Amino acid sequence: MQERQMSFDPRPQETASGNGSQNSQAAGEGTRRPDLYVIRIPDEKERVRAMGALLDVNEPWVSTVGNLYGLNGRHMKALQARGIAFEWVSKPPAHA
Amino acid sequence: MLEGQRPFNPEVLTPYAVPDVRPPMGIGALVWRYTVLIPTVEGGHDGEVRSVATEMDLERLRQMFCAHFGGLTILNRIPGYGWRDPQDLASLELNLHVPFAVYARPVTASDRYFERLQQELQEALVQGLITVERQEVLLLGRSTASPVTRRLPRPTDPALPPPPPQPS
Repeated sequence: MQERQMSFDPRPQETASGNGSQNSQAAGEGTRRPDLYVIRIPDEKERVRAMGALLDVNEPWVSTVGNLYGLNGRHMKALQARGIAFEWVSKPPAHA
Repeated sequence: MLEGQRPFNPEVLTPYAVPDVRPPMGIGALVWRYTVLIPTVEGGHDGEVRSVATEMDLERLRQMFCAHFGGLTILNRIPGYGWRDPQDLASLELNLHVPFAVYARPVTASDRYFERLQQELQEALVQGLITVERQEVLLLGRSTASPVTRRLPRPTDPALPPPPPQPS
């Protein structure tokens, strides 16, 4: 699917409770940032490792040309927990 | 891994990845959404668990779909089970699948692509059947006129490869 399919509603989003969302951490006054990120994984070995990490999260994610990945905060935690190298394409969360 | 299993080979799909399979996108576009269920784990009544598609196989599929269709969505894993012989309770099989969802242009070339993919996955992963679903999707919305213009094939368009051979 094309990258533009990953667009999200830019209006302030409600923070879901009890799901470990990073929204509250990234939120500014009166706004909440969607828990969505775009990254690039240039290295093939890292992409193979990432596949395992992302499947373990068992939540949908998208990928587009250029080894771009559209992920949520739980995917990002899984990648970081395994030390998988990636580049931020979207703005990283405040605590990253 | 299963006996006789080999890595998935994306090269066999190259002749089927004609430009026409790439999906039109935007409000008013009509596409076919193919969902390919990739088995990653299977187990039998005996409790033995075997891995099927490897992380490398899945990465090759991801890369191939991005190259041929522009991208994909990987959905939550789906459990499944069934009896190879409905009369034999010991023939129970359980499995886990990863669904790969891809938008394609609603043309015959897209069907041929996924038929060939199904065949390659069945051979590489030693599976009797790899499930491939096709759904029609209309991207609804209020906007300007559809960006998609329909046209008939031109003589200069690359020829479609023949359908994959069917097992006898």
